Amino acid sequence: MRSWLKYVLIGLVIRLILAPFFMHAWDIGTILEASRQFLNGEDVYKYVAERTSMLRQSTGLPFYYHGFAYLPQTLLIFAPFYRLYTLMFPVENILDLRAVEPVILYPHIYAFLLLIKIPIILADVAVIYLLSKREPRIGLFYALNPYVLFITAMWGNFDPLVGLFLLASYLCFSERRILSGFLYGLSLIKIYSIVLLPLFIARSLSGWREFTKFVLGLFVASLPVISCLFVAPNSFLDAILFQGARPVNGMNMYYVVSSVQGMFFQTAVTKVATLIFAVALLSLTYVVLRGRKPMLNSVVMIMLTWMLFAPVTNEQYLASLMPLALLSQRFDRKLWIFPLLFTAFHATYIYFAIPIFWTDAALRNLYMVVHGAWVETVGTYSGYIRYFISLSFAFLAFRNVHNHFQPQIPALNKHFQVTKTAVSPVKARHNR
Amino acid sequence: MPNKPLARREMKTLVDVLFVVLVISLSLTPFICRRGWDGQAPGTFVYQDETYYVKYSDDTIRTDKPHIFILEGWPIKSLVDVVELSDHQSFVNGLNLYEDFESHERLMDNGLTVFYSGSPQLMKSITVTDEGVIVRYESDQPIELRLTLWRWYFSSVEGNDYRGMPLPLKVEPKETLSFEFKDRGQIYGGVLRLSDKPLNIEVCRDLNGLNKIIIHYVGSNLSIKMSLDNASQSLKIANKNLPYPLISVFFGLVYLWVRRYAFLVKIRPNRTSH
Repeated sequence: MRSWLKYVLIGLVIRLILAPFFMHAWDIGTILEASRQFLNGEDVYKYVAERTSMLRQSTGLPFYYHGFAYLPQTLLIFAPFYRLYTLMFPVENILDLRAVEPVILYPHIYAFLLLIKIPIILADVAVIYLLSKREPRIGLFYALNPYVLFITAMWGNFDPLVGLFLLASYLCFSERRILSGFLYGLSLIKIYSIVLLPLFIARSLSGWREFTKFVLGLFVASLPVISCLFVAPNSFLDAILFQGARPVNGMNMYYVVSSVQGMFFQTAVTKVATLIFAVALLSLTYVVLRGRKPMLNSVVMIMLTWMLFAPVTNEQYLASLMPLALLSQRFDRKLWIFPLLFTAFHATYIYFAIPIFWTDAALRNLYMVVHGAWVETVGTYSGYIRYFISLSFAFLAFRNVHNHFQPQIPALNKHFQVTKTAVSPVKARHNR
Repeated sequence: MPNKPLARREMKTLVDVLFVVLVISLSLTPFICRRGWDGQAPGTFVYQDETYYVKYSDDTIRTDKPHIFILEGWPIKSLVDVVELSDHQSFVNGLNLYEDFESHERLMDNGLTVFYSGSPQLMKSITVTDEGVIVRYESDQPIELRLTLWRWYFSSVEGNDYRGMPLPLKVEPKETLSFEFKDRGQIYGGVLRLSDKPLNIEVCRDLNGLNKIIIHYVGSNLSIKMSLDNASQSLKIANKNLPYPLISVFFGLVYLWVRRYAFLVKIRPNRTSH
């Protein structure tokens, strides 16, 4: 059997086995809620904007409702699979995963989780294929990587879809510019990949024809966005801008702020963090473009800079970078360990196994006991541990980005610099 | 002619140092005291100023509504637990405030207001002034209110430690109630001032000492002002979370050391035996 096929099958089987039994209840619940609303013809973004407004009015604090804040293409990907699920269980499909006590029905939940994760699993399989065809060992690494498996098959987050679109866009960039633009447009389902737009545009500017092709592809992929902007611009922009205005959070150097201070303070610090992020990103993009660095490394380093300095760095974000990063020789592969560790002290791993623990009362009690024991043991220190992990990631990522711009042949310490006077007459003659 | 590689190297070292300074600066945010109310999640609020730290529920303990602390010590202040008003142990017309009512909280009018749904309609507001922390209960009709104030432990209530006295430990109902407690070797004295005379006041104890003051009240409006005799007003530098800056300094120093080590040692030229 060909090695790429073997790795694709290994990756596929592991993901299919894990998918029905694990979930991040809130994030999967977001897709469930949005797909349901979308199929019922409701305005998904209006719902999010209204909930945010209600939350703010009822608390007096600048909270955001963490609902569906992605581009509408996401719904076109997931809603058909939700529809398939409702066709399988036409009567009882009242799952509510976002309730304080999630409402889970059996065996519906297993079918639902498997179906809703199919697009993400297929994306992973495509990534394994693309990587294996180029470097089989990288394909295997991706297929078996615990972090990628966790985000895709267990968490059920769709950052790996962004990773696939970015990888495919990069691979098509030289030969098929329209397709590259289209795939990049799809990668914007999670708006953060917008950080790569200046790079893609600048690299497309080699000729007007190539530039037009890229923009055309991007435009076609963005048609659902344009329709939303015409139909309901306010609610759409409110929901989407939420991603850009979220207060500092996640696995980054700002973690300390979100850990010890309240929302008003976090909101103030977020403005400073956004400024730092903008300066860092613009500086790096300028350096990358000015030095005409290779496209692949440039994409990886810009994405890494975004993860490093952005006010919000969720654990799943690295999954969008992994496919391209693994192709790059300059990426520090140890980085995946930190988001995986961070999750243990943030959501806790047991939280992802709710579909298993909710099957009967005894298991549910066991969940409560284990969760309680974990909180009691680690709870007091978890903030410090998460900060420790955040800084480990931040410093390693910073070193990674920084090293990328090191001179290829390291310069000597000042004390060992060879000055003109120190050059031997023989060497001087040779140089001449 | 300037040495370009060296200039680039120095530039990169400067970027390293700037990054470390940024990380360490951010880690100092727990030292910043933002005066006033703030919140971390719906239903979770905090007030702090130079003297008081008032916590209203949090992710793990949802019953302390509110939990009043003072900030003591110099230069680094720490939290001294004063008293907790527990919804778990408070009742309105025999109904438990935590179990039998749904509540939602909102920051308004320079304080935190809690609306309890159901009948009777009840509203609790918490405000902090220079003179103390005021918790006010208001209802649309006369109610029978039983409030419990916790602390582990009061040294005395109304000057009495009630040792050896038979239960229940009754206190003469009046509008002012004094209490004392000890924390880290220091004795603190506080006063509870009630807007109305309560029906009766009871003190409870366990094996280690006095841990509860229970106030029975009938009416539609009651406020309790808690103030301390010797709370310090000094400038607050920090209250907790020293580990955050320590962690960041540790990482920063290790990072700079590793970078410098790589610079000095990894490219060391070969040396002769001479």
